[in-house]
Amino acid sequence: MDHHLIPRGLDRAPLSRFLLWLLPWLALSVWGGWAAVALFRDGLYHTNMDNRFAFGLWIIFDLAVIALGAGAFFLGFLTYLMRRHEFRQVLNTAVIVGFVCYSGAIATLAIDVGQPIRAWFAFWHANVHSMLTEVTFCITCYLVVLAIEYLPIVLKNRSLRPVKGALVLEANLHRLMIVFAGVGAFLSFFHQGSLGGMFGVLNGRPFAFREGVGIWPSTFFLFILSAIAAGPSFIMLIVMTVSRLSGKRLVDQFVYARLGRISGILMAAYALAKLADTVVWIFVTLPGLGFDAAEFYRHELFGTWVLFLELTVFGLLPATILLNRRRLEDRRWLVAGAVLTCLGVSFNRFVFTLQTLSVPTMSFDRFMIYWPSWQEWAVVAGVVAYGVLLYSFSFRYLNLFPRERELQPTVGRS
Amino acid sequence: MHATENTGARYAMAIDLDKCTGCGACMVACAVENNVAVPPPAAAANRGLTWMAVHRTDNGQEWPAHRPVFIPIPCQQCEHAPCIHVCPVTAVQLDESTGIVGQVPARCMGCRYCMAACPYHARYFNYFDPTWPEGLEETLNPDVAPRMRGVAEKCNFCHGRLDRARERAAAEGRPADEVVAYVPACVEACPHGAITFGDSRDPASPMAQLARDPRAFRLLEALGTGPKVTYLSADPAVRRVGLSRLDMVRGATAVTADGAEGA
Amino acid sequence: MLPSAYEFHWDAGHLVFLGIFYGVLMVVLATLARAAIRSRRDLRRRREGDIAWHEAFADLTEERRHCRHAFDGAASGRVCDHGFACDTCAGHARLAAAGGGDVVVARGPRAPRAGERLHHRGHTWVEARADGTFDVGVDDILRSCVGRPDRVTVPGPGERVQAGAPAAELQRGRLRARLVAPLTGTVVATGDYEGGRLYRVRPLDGECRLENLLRPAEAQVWRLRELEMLQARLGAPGAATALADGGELVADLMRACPAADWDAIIGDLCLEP
Repeated sequence: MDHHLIPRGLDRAPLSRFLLWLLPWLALSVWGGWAAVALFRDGLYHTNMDNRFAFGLWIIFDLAVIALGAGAFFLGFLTYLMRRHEFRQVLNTAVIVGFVCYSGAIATLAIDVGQPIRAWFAFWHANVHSMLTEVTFCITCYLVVLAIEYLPIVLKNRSLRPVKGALVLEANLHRLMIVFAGVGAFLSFFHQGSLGGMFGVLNGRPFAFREGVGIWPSTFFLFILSAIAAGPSFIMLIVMTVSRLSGKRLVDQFVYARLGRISGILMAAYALAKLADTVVWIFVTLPGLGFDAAEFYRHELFGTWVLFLELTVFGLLPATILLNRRRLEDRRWLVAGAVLTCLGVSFNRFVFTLQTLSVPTMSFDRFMIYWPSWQEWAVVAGVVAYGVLLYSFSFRYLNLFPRERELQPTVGRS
Repeated sequence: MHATENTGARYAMAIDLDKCTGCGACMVACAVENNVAVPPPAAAANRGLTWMAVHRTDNGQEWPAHRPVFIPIPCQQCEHAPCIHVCPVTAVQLDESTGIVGQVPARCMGCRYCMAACPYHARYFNYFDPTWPEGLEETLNPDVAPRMRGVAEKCNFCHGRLDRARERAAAEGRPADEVVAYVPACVEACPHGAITFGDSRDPASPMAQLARDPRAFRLLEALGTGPKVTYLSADPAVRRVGLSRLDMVRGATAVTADGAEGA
Repeated sequence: MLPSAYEFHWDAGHLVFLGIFYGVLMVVLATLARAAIRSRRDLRRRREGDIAWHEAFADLTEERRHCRHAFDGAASGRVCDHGFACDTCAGHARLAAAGGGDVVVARGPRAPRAGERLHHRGHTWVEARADGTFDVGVDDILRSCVGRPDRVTVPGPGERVQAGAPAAELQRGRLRARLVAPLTGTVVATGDYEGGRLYRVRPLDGECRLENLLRPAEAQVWRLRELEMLQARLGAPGAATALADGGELVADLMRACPAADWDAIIGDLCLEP
């Protein structure tokens, strides 16, 4: 049925099975869309956010997916600027995953703000001293860059072959891709950092506040490090999952190990930096603000286990796994390391968003918790489903893995 | 920016906790004065709009010394407000001529970053369309614009009243840059006279003396936010509520370290 | 954002921040514009065929890109990386000059004798004629695979064909085999597919790069490798061994092996992945 759209020589599931696969994701995105309509129409009272929990599930989700989507810029940077050509094998996936993450995050943000129609105010009335302004500018610009990087992949679709302009534009865009990779790296570097800066500058919230260099608190650098540590791991997990689901080898085995190793090196750097940052925070920053770290971890939900987990299981452990060359060759260790890295970064974003708001500031404050409403879950589920749908279509109709055909057994099917 | 540091007024407020009974008259007067919308009856407790919130705690003593402490918290109008520099759309600004931290509802896009930044929980978000129970809309104040759904709002030291005071001053032919005297609604409404208001840069104002009052303390001063709301209490145990919780646990040492007298 | 925005004021923060922002925006837009302008220029110069060839070539698997010197034994395993344009290949010049290998390779351009056939890797051939024109045809492997095409599209007289660019098309059912032109020139006549010839070309002066095509000796080795590939792809053991042994090619392989992925096989044969 859709043979004329599937790249030549790629073996894809029958259309009926593909449609069946889409069905649950379509249902989820419809659910999310329905919730989004209600939220746009009625306002944010459909959420469980309140005056204390000004940020909720959506901000955690946005921070996590943007960190996980860092593979797009980082692998682009490594491929085009550092000339690590082995990553070309996963670059298309990285671009699409990045596009999904960023467009998903922006869509979620559009629902999250109270006045979505005024979103352009962030540009028009920009407060250049706000980290959020920088995030808004960079994310928007970077989404455009990602769309430009996505375009050549789409233009190579088989059905566009008769269109003369498509191929010529694709070739010319591809030739200039190094510029976009460079711009993407520059933009991402700053907004990944600024997302961390968003919390580090909160001088009214000692749990989040951090000392820093110039206008950048330490979280600026920690967020960059953790994002580029998680990016390659996340891309690796996505490719492995797609490979498993489609039952095909998509990239050379050594690419996984390379991705894991890069994650491992960065994760080690991150874990050590995080440790140093925590020490400075506990012994220098907090006493200066009249606070004590123990106070933040006295509550039933967020005990000291949070700090312990972040530094060890989600920090040093994946770093040691992924730095070990022998473990990199073992698929189970590799997956474990990558999963811990991705979970760790997401958990870090969760802690910075939620615990910051949960813990009391004033002596008579109560510790509070928050649980998202179904509408909040629905929007998140919808965005995830949108990502799966976009990637599924891309995987079926676009040639994402340059080595895929070569890696399949040559004997014809019967 | 620093050129104007010492010109203009610095309106400030002092709340005597020893006089406060927690009656809530200030909250009601504030809501009426500033057209604060009434959330639907089913709304969750922490979704309401109260520019002035009266918190309840105690002095931390065992009975019979135990007594409740009520702490009315309006926006602290911080001189170094954490909410100003975070706002992406420049909707929060410190007015150099008054020291009041202003919120521009027509420009706010509702990202709520300022709420996450505020350590005093003095900022509120319009989760609902502004509505008033039937009949109550008759009480709306024509001097204050109600806020729309999806924006943040907070106390602005009754800016509507300040504007009216300025209009009167202008009508009387006084120079435009002269600091006018006015009284916010909560100050007027407090049945015990617990709230004082004035220009802290005016040596004649009671606010100027209050700064040196041994009973005075501010909330979370160590954060460096520079709040313009001062609290007063003769009880050192009550004065400790201005510190973070841990300092409260530490007790006397922290109070001494903070420059106040030990308990 | 703009100095005209309400309450905008010039300060260092605005200058740095907006300077960088507009700088990035300019770079992105300028790069996009550059790509668009280049594309327009390429389309005007009718370079789309050339670009299509290079794009397709870049996507070919390594086994489809063997160097001609991998066939003559001088450099086994060598893979071509510039579109089979041997005339511009330093490696070819060196290997051809060295004369290594079992098969004699053309040294530099030379006019082929009339009746001599040169082969293109896209399974077309070129046959020199005494009057200086060339016949272009489809080789036996592709003919056997396509069998009896439903439709054959060839360029009409007067049209220009360019080496590497798609020139003709065979269609059978949903399958399309696009045939790249083996040499650059103007079409002077159309042949008929049944007769083996597709069209006749008068080469353009200076653009007739015959040294990029395989000489008969190389083509023989190459042909055997193609048959091996076909055998593997067909996956029908009985029919395939016969092929490799040099047995007769079935007239209509597509009908003989309907289960094979013919779309992919045709793509491989015609160098269009």
